[in-house]
Amino acid sequence: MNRREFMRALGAGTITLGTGRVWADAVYRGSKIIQAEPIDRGGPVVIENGKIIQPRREIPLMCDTDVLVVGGGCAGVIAALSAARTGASVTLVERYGCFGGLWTAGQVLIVLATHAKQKTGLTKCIRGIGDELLERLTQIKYGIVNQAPGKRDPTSDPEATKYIMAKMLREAKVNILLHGWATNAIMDGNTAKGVIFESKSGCHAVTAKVVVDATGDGDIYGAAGAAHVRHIHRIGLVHRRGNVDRIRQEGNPGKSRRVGAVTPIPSVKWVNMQGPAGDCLDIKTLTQCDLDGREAIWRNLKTLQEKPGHEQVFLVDTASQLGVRASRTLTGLHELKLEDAKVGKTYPDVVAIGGGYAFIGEVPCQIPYGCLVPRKVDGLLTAGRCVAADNMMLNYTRLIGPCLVTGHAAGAAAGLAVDSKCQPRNVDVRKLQDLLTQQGAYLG
Amino acid sequence: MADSDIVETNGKSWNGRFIVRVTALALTVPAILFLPVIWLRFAVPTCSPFIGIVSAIASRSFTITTACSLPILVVMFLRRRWFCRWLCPLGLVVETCGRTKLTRLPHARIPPIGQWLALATVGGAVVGWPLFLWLDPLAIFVGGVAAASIVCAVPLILVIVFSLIFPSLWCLKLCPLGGTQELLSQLRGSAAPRTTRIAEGRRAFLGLVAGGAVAGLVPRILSKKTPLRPPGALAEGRFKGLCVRCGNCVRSCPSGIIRHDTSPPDLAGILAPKIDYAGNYCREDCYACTQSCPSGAIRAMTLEQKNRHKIGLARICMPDCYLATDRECSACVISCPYEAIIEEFDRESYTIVLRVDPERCNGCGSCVIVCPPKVITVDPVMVS
Repeated sequence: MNRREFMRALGAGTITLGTGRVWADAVYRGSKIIQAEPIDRGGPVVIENGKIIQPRREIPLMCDTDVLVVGGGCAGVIAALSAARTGASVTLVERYGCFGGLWTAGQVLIVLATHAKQKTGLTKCIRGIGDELLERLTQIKYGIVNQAPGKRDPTSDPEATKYIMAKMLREAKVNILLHGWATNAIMDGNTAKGVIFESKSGCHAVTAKVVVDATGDGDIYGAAGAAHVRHIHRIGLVHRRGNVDRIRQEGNPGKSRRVGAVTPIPSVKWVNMQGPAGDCLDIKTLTQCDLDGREAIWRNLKTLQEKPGHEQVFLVDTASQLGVRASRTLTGLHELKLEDAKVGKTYPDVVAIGGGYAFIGEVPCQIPYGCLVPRKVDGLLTAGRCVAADNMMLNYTRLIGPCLVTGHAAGAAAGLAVDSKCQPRNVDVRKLQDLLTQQGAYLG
Repeated sequence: MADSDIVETNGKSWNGRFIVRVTALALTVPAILFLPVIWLRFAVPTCSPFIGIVSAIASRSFTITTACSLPILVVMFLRRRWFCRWLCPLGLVVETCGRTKLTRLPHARIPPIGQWLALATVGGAVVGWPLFLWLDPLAIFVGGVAAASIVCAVPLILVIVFSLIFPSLWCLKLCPLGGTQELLSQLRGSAAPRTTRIAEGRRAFLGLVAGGAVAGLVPRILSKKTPLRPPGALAEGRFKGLCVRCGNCVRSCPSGIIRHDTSPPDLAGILAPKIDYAGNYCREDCYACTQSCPSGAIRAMTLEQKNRHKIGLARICMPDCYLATDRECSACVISCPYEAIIEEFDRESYTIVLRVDPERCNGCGSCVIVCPPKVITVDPVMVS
């Protein structure tokens, strides 16, 4: 049977089976045609009465796991590592092909709010697994700058960070699923049981005892029906410039605009962008921002290159992820508020502490467990940018430093919930704090 | 008759009057210290008809103080120096100080300055600048007793020190409220000879005109720089004149942003309340200061009126703003209770510029205190 005949037979088979499940795929491997893994979409979408209808169907289960972390950004990665260290089986679904999210693919390279300056001196707040990661980056040449005693707010190299994150996840034997875009939550009543995600392999489900929503956008708790608040915020597009070490300063250097912020690579700087405010959950807005942002980058670069002394500066790359600042924040059991953060409010159920930052001052910012737990939905925790915070404090919780510690807390809490066979909201916070401290976290 | 007894006792029981005066003092001090400021403005400085009359003239309206002081005015009219003899708390303090008798001055040879001060103040009030309203004894007493800082107590301390050296001189010859009472009794004193009454009338006219003339000229030589005043404050010139420095508004402010101005651009503004956004802002749920002023220097307003009233206008020094160097910040935009700071995105340069909407901004200062690089200031708005 040659290829054409095989295909014809396959087509006939498909017709006789109707538009239901495709039972087999054929795939060329070299010169041979073999049977491939089926790509299961449950048949195509149909048109009924002029409406486009997704037929009811069963979704194949990819795997069942103790802890499912959705989103492989900085919070998700640390959550997965932390949960894996409690002994739980962990699956991590990430929509792109690398880890680090906005830190790496978004090129927001600076880890802010790592330290707080107190009377006793500079206190490192971002410790535990997040700090382990930063420390491992110091082992890599051009991996990270400002990660040393007495220094704060380090800047890492995106590629080094992606590499180390993947290495740590594999060492921890986390079940990694890249290129999978989680599209919906699986709910049993009021309890999240997992997610479904789309990929080149079609739609699959992963079920779990505890789901950690580290999507940054709160996509999973949004889909699960947990109460939340949506936000309009600026959307930028970060890029990196090269040859900045070849800039000759002419005229008045003090007046010249910053070329960019420092990166571990001496000749490269990264350039932040504020961008227009918009709804970060709207595809048209995102499309517009990506297109316009990239155009603006080239325009600005041209202006820079025309400046005497700056002729050799070039564009290294633009971020592959838009700089989304805020989209959803959870309406959690507790909400971080600016007035509390400013006075350094402490909580008995503190599970994460971030360092000082511009608008809250030089006080360590305590984040209680309630910020990670939805009001009503069970089986679900959140971490990173989308934790419960008011519209002022979300500008703090979205920084990488705080994301690292909320990720750590959420992962440990998920692991503990699995271990003690309870819902995340019923986790013994004292035990959780002990566990986090064992894992090196700083809790005051 | 002792010097310290202010005026003739007419054979009345000295002891009885003393008890009344001590009681008045004993009631006034806790009233000032513990009454809520909103009630206090009806209590102590309001009893002064001097403030009552002058504030009505200067603010061109019938003020609370005028209403409250009306009964006292009537009694004053009927009984000469009645207030001094029975009620004035400062009078009792001054008199007690005078008992030390350190020096003796022949009082008779000193002209009745208090009357002139009162006349000049009323004359000034007509023009819009009540010149010596701040010398009202009740205002001095309230300001001194309630003093938030030692600076606010300076007038009271000065009067006390003055009275230690020159017993009773303040009450007899300087106090404008005393002077007002003398003038009132002159108005009534129909028994006086015709020539005396003509002289008195001439003197009153002279005092009023002189006061009006000075008050008309003074604002022209004063600094054009205006500190930020509490919401509801009258136009700067009138405000500085009408404010009695009682400190009620300073004490009423829960944010603690109203302070006595100890370094004013000109002497006329000394100790007048100004707004200083050091650590807090003018809250959108508060209008306490507008309810606290006994003299009408700050108009009474509703919460809604206060929130619309412009203390000033925020100004952002954009080149120093974090956004200008692409550093992350939205503090002012988010903190503004009136959504007056607008992120204006320029598609061409692809940058954000913050713009203050002058319609919405009332200068509350919430942006000033949250701004990490401290590049926002509130400028006074010029009210014509």
